[in-house]
Order: sequence, then C-alpha cells, then structure tokens
Amino acid sequence: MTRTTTTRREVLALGAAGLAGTAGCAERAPDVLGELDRDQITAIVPWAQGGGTDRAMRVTTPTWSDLLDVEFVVENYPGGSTQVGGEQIYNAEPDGLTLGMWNMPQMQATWLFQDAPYTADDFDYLGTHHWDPTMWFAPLDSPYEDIEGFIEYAREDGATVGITAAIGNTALSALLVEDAYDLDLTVVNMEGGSELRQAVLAGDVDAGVNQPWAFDPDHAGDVTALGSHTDEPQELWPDVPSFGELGMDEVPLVEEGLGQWKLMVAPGGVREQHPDWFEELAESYAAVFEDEGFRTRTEEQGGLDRIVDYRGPEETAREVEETSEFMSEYADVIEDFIYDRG
Amino acid sequence: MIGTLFAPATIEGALGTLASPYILLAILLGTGVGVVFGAIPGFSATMTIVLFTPVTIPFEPTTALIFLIAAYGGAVYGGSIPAILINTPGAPGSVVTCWDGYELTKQGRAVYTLAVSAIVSGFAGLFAAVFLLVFAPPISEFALDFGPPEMFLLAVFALTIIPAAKGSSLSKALLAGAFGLLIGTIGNDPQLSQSRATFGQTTLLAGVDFVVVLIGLFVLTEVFRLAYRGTVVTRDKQVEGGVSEVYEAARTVASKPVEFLRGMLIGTFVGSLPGAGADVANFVSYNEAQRWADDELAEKFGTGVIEGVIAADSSNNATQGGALIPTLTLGIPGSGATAALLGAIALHGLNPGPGLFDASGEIVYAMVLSLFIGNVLILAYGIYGSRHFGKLAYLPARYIIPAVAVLAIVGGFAVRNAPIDLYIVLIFGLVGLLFVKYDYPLVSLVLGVILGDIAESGFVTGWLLTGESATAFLFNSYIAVGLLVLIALSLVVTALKN
Repeated sequence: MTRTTTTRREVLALGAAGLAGTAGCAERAPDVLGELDRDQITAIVPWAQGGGTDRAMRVTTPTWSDLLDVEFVVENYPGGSTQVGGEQIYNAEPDGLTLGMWNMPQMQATWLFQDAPYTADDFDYLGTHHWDPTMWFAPLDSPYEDIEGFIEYAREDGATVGITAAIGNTALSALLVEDAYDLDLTVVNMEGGSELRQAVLAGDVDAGVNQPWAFDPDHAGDVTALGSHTDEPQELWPDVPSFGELGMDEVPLVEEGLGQWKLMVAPGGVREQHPDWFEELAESYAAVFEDEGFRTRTEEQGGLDRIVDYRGPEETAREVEETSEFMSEYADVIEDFIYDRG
Repeated sequence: MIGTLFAPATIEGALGTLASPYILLAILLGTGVGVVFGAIPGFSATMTIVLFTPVTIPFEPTTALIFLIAAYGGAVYGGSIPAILINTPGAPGSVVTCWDGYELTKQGRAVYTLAVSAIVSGFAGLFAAVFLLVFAPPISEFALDFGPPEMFLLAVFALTIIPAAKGSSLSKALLAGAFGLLIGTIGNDPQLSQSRATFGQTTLLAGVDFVVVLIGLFVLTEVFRLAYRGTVVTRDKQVEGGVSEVYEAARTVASKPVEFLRGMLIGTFVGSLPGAGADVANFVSYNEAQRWADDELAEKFGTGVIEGVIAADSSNNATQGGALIPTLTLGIPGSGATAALLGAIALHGLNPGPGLFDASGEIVYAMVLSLFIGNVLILAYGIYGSRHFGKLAYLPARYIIPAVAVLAIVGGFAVRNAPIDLYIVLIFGLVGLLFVKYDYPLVSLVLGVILGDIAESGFVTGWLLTGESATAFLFNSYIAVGLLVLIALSLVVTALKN
C-alpha cells in the first residue's frame, strides 16, 4: 500500500515536471551577449496541413531559408476560423523568430465577428504572397452556364450555395449576390475547400463559392465555372467571365475585386524593436519571389505562379487597412447571416 | 475523369523505379520510422507524416513520397503495439485493439497477440494495396456520393456501438456516450463559427482534440490503476513467449478467414469515405465482429478474445488503401493522415486530383506498388519484433509507470503544442478513474467525442442542403437508405440483447 502511494506521487510529480518542462520549452533564451539566437524561425499556418495556405507557406520557406540562412519550422494551428493560429502569432515574442502566413479577409473576420483580442494594428506586415479571386462554380449537369443563368434559376426556385467558411470572402460574395438580386439562397458552410469541391463535384449544391487556385484548375472540365467576383477576368481560368464583363455592377466589390490575399505577418513590435532584423526579413522575403527554385515550385502547384502577387510591407499594410474597412462596411450583411439565420 | 489505370507502360516504369536500392531503402526506413512513431502514444500516423514531410524536402519526389507512404502504413500498425502491451493506443485507429489485446497481455499472451496483430495488419495492408490498384476509379465515384447526410448516418451507425460496448449497463453506456457528445460540442460551431464552451481558451475554439482525450482516458487512467495493481501481467499467469506463440498466431489467423476478411472490407470501405479513417473503422469492425459472433463468443468480447484483435487490426490497416483512393484521384483526403499526405504530395510538385494518374503516373504507381513492399516489411518487423516487444509487458510497474506517464504528457502536448491539453489529459485521466470505479464504459465516452464532430457537421450541413426536410435528409440516396437499415438492425439487435 505504501509503495502504491509513493508511485502515485511519482506519477503526479512527473506530470507536474512535464507541464513545467514543456511550458519552459516555449521560451527562447538570449545568448550570453544578449543577442537572440537566430538559427530557427517558427512559421505559423492557421489552417490544417495540405490546404492552400499550408502549401503556399511550404513552397516559400525552402527558398527563404536559403536566403536568410535560417531554418524554418512550419507549425499548423487550425481552428477557430484562423483565430487559434492568429493568437499564436499575436502572443509570440516580437523577436522576429515567429512569423505566420495568414489570409484576408479571414483575419479581419476574427476580430470583427469573433472575440479575438487583437486588431490589424497589433501586427507587422512583411509582404503579400498571392491573390486568389473569388469564383463561383456549379456542377457540370446544372441547367445554367454562367452566373446570370444561375441567378435566374435561383430567383424561381431558390438555390443552395456552398461556401468554404462562415465568415470570409466566399460568404461575403454569396451574401452580396443574394442581396443585390433579392434572392433567397440557402448559404451552407462546407467547412473547407476540399469539402466544397466535393459538394460541387457530387452535385450536392446548386453552386459553390471558392477561389480558382484553391479549387484547383485541374478540375476545369469537371465543373462549370460561373463567373469571378472581379472586374476583369482572372488569370487561372481565363475563359470564365468576370462579374464586370457580365455587367453585374450592382454587386458590391466587383470593381475592387473580391478575393483572398495571402500575406506574411509578424507579431507587432518586431519592426520597432528589431529594425535591422525586420529589414533583413522583409528584403529576403521580397527576394524569394525572384528565385528560380521558388518560381518552379509555384508552377508545380497548379498554376500558383500565375497568381503570385508580392507587395512590400507598406503596401501590404495599406491592403490590410482597406480590407478591414470594407469588411466593416459590410459587417451588417455578415452579422445578419451569422446571428439572424443561425 | 479518372486517369486510366493499368497502363502497362506506366506500371513497368513504376516497377523499374521500385527496383532502385534508394527506393527500397526509403521503404525500409519509412516503415521502421512509422512503426516506432506510431507506437508512441499521442503520435498518430498524421503526426508522423507531418513531422517527416520537411525532412523529405531535399529528396526527389518519388523517394520522398514512397518514404512517407511507408511511414503511414508503419504508423497505423505501430499504434497497436502499445495498445496490446500497456492498454495505450499509440494512434487513434488502435483504440479498439486495447479492449481484447490488453486483456490477452494480462493473461500472459502478449507475444501471441502481437504476432496476430502483425499478421493481420500486414495482410490487410496488402489487401488494401490490391484494392487501391484495382478499384480506385469506381470507388472514387462512390466516395463523391457520400455527402453530409450520409456522413451523419454513418456516425449514427457507429454510435449505435455505444449500447453494445463491453461490460456495462445500457443506461450507463448511453450516459457516457452522451457525455462524450457534449465534450464534442466544445469549440466553434461547424456552420457559423461561433464559439461554445471555450471558457476564453483560444485553443478550445478548435474543440477538444480527441487524441488528447484518449491519452487521458486510456493512458493516464491505466497508469493510476497500474499503480494500485502493481504489474501488467497478473501474478498467477504464466508468461508465454517464444516461437511457438508466433506459430500459434499464424494458425489462429489462418483459421479465421471470415473475421479477417470482414475487417479488411470494413476498413477499406470506411477508409475510402472522405473524413473517416482508421479511428472510425476499428469501432465499426469490432462492433460487426461482435454482432456476427455466436452468443457465447459475443459475451466474451472485451475479456481477451483474439477475434476482437483481428477485427480491430485488420480494419485499421486496410483503411490505408481505401483512404488513398479519394486522396489521389479526387484530391479529397479520406482521413487526417491522407490530408497530411496530400500536403506532402502537393509540396513535392504533384497535383492530387483527376489528372494525377495521367500527369504523374509513374510516381503514383510506384507509390501504390510500394505499399506491397511496405506491408511485407510490417509482417517481417512485426513477427520478429513481437517476441521482443512482448517482453515489455513483463517489466516491473516501477519502470512502466514513470515512462508511460511521461509519454502520455509529452504525447498529449505534442498533438497541437497547446499547454491547455496538458490539463485536459490530467482531467480525463481523473474522469477515467471515476468512470472505471463506477463502471461507466470509457469506450462510449471516447466514441461520443470522436463521432460527435462528424455527426454534428453532417447533420447541420445535410439538413441545410436537403431543404431542411427530414424525409429528403434521411432518404437522400440509396447509401443513406442502406445506412438507415443498418442503424435499425443495430438498434433492434441491441434491444433484444438487453
């Protein structure tokens, strides 16, 4: 009996030691000169492995690692519509050794419509990565061939529209089209790009909203692409008409183009506290886009090279601000969807 | 839309690729790495693939992907080793292996059970590889028909196992299952992303990870119980070991072809469904094995019958072939592990989807064919290793307890690097003790946590897609009707038994 008690104490002590030990591992200590040991960068992805953001991060880090001579460790923190990963970046030490690839307007949604403790001002921005426009898809055997035909169909019978996340560009596009044409759509969150793709391929939805690269241009013959929520046709599926070409000016955000930005983000304070290191990070990140190996890898990623769109720190900060503004402008549309329909 | 399979020139090229010593080394190392990491509690096949994907970046795609696919198969098998030896599923697909596997270990039959596990795992993997090669196109079409209503009904079917769970009253099993479902609702709701019961903890927005719950319930609880009991193998049992146990294992498997085949078919089927993997397959397979057994044997399930181990391990390893079908042909992952593999495939410049077999046929066929070699290796590693791994069960508790406790805590943390998960492991370790003390089945709780998410998502999405109509929802397709029949049968049988 005595032995049993001792053993249980050992177990609990070990548990406590494990807790303390693992918590301690999270801290990164300066070396003897007070300089940070910059041999490893944690690259956070707020989505699961295999998704668009994860793939974009993993085609970027090998080149960036060579240019900076620093090892990158990609860590995935899915959940909370990117808020889990977002808080990982927000709570990280502003030492420039933790970065993350996030996407807009999903990041804005976490503080506008969820209870995230941060806003756009709490981060430093290294640059954009690519822009994937919002596009509408339909099953191949649908009785309509473009977005106008779909609108007519939906006006008569109503329609189901799949989106990839409850609060983001795909939801906003569906809700804006519904509002502009006074439709009665059943907007269904399919919880991810691959689930949405499956729903469209299987004919479970009347239409699905995603981005062309995320949907995968390899599926070009398997679905009907109805139109893109942009003024000009986009690069990846060039035969697909844009809302602008179709004269759908009554849908908001057509002129600006509604899509999804991927961007590289650092915790706020890196630029101020470690200006030289921030500069080095920003310059090397810009150089990634000139690298031949990076270009080759993006070509192999279903045409990612055609939508890569690097912009520097200042311009990225402006894009973040503009996206925040338009998300705030349409907040009531999304809030109606979340709170009233829910 | 699916690329042509059995293109002789491509297969010939793939066979040529496989003959390379580097590729063979990749399979050898990949399987070994998979077995070792799969055997560490908390390290699932998914995590093994994620962990080793960056390591493969310098290698050319064929070598890299074959290494990862070998690691995947090895990890699914490896999860059964600690399940049998210390009642600790190394991976979520091995939860059910514990039920009879560990009981057999307590009876001194660890070597025999490990050998059975290795044999059925290896052969199930081989079967899955054949299945993948031959049936990928029709199955991928079928997988598309499995929409949200069907996923909901599949989850309900698996939930009907709750009343059948071993050794408890029906009401306690249902109560424990309901508690599990409640835990499953923690986190953002699947439709509108609004948080529920997260208590301000951001990590919980993604819900409570069921692997963490499993580690608490099964590992920590067993550590506490082991501390009281003092040894894994009860003192009055003779330790059986040696070659004779391995021979007997082979004879046992050969004498139960129906049980083996049923498990493999269930594993392949469940694996091919998007979103369901080994974690669901082993429950369904075990339940069916118990349902089809005669009354006398059915009563003994959970007390150490080898049929339970065969049901679990034939199904979980068979999922690998099935899960690769939608992954490779549609770009839709069939399980968590294949989602990670999908990322790795894309990282190495291949585009999983309809054009994959046409565009990168040689590499893909080499990957598929490497499954054959990988599973032969699982047989070899497993049969040889069972005689040695088995000795671990007879280590004194004073060595096992601290080692397993550390593994549990590190494993719980490793799932998603979240400190909150350490507390969850501890809480569920204590909850597990209460459940055992008051005879509530742990399995029902786990099943509720695992299936709650799938059921809720399937229900809400399916409900909206079918115009919020119960009839359209339940009779959405012939698959839905088939599942409804299975659910009804399961409930009737359970009601009659109770």
